[in-house]
Amino acid sequence: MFSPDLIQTALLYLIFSALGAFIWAPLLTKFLYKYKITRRAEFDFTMKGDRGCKAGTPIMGGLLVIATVTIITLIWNWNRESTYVPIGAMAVSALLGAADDLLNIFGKPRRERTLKQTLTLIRVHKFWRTRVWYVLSLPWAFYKRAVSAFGSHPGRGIQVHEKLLFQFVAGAIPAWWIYYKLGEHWHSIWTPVLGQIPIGWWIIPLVIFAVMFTANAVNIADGLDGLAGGAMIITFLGLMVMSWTAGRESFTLLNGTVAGALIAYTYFNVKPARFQMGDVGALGLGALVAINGIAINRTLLIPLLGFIFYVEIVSVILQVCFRRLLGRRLFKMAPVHHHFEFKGWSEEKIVMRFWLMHAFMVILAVWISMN
Amino acid sequence: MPNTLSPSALRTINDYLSLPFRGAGNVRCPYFNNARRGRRGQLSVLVGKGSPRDIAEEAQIISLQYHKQLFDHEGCCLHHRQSGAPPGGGGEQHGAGEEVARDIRKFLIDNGLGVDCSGFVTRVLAQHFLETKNVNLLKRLRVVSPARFWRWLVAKLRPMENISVSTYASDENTEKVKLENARAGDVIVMLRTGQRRDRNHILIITETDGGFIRYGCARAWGCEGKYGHGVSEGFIRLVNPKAGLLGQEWVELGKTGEANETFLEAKQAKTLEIRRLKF
Repeated sequence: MFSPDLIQTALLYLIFSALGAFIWAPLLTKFLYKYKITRRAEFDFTMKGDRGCKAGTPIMGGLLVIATVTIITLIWNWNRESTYVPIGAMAVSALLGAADDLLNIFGKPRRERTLKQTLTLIRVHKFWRTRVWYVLSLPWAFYKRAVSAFGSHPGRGIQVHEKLLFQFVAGAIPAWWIYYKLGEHWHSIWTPVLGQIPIGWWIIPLVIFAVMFTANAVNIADGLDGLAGGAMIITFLGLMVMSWTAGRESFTLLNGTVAGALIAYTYFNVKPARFQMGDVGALGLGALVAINGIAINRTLLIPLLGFIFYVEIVSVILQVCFRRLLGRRLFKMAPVHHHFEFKGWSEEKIVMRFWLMHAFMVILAVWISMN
Repeated sequence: MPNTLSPSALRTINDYLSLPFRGAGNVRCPYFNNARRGRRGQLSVLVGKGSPRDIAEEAQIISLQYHKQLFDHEGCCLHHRQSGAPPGGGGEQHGAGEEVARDIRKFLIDNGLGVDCSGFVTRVLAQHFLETKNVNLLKRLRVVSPARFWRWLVAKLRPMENISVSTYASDENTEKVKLENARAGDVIVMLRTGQRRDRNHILIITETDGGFIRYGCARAWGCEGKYGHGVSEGFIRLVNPKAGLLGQEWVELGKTGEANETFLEAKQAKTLEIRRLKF
């Protein structure tokens, strides 16, 4: 029933991708050090104490995976019907992440005008045209304020409200592709018990949401050495098996390629990390997890495939809700891996346990998808 | 027969007087008022409304987060190990122990951790009413009228942060009590006090015993400087019960008369009343 040739080829892609990434990883490391694309202690208050050793570690190590996967797919697995859009959306998200990473290091500090300041300017600015402009742009100011209440304030780089807009675009591309290009049978989603359920155009917001949510989830989980990389290997291996059982050739090869590159990346990322993923890898690969899950029509299984990422992002959402609405903490600190760090767990212990939990959930997802 | 607060309420006051830090005793909770910082939508502990346990936990989190090396992951104070002070604290320790307590208090004040007067009174009264009458004070106090729906909703979600001295001064929640009828659990409310008449203050009566009214409060006296303020206890000696509150002798930290700034505040207040919760 399942083609052994396909999985054999996918494994070959995996091996080839891993070897390729291993070969050029030192070049990337050298490049990142040369241009000082590293974590700076002066911009990051967490780079003290036992985390002080992380200062000076290159970021944007995710480029290793993004570039390897893109090149291999462009050369050997380029298919307008399947790999075209996932790679495109991954590239858009990765570009956004890269811009954020670079601006976080080289950009000037940014100070956002508060809503109160905008309202004051509307009253007191000496030019009436500027006052009119402020009135017209008030919805944007409201949006910024609302988003900033629930996001972090890095002070540099791309701000949360801008990031969300870019991610919306990255999600809208696959949504458009799935709804308009892949045909009528993609206007439904697969469920474990009920089979296919038609949802029509609702597939568009669902895809956009899945891409944005998963990309951010991976980004949030990328806080401990090896955590996101190791969990991603498991996720993409699961996706590879699922696309193999679904008979989706291009996706099987694509997922194998990503898993291979991730093996090389994680080799260098385990503690003490030679480089860190950065937003370039986290946002790009997060978007790819969602798109590949949707593309093999297993959208509802994405929370299991990205289990640990979803746990991390949900912990942040809950923490913010508890903080803002009830005035207390749910966790000592969010994302939840920091909570365990505060409890005294070692970084290695947290990472290993999270990997194991994640692996269990991915196996569960594969099992469900085969039923 | 003295009339006192319930044991759990007294325990809460003791916890404020000696915050529950492991390995460090006698850390008196500092005073913190959010008026100047204006933190909105924050944790209750960061706006001066935290319980002793909340304050101790938040201090541990901030210490770990910013690598201040004050507490370990178990919440145990690291300084007592370095200084050689005995863990657990207590009144008997001097020298190194006091130094540790001073360091922690400085850390708390520098990081905006502490309690304001209404926060302190509410935490203590909540325990008192829960134990004596099985009443949830936070649910029973009427903070905002339902007509102001948004404020009312916020107050329902976060009652602790929205209860102020005015809440206790409101006839909807409390009624005036004469000095001779005062008892533990009543509050002394001072409205529009201070030199500029722009502040309110509240004390909780912890014990009455014929000629004395003992009280607890969270306050910042000017003479105590940046790091000396906090939760405190004092008493009012009833020298002439018919003369009203200002006609009595107020003693706090061994100071009387206008040297006792709590008395001075009472004197400056436009409204000074003893009030009792209606339920």
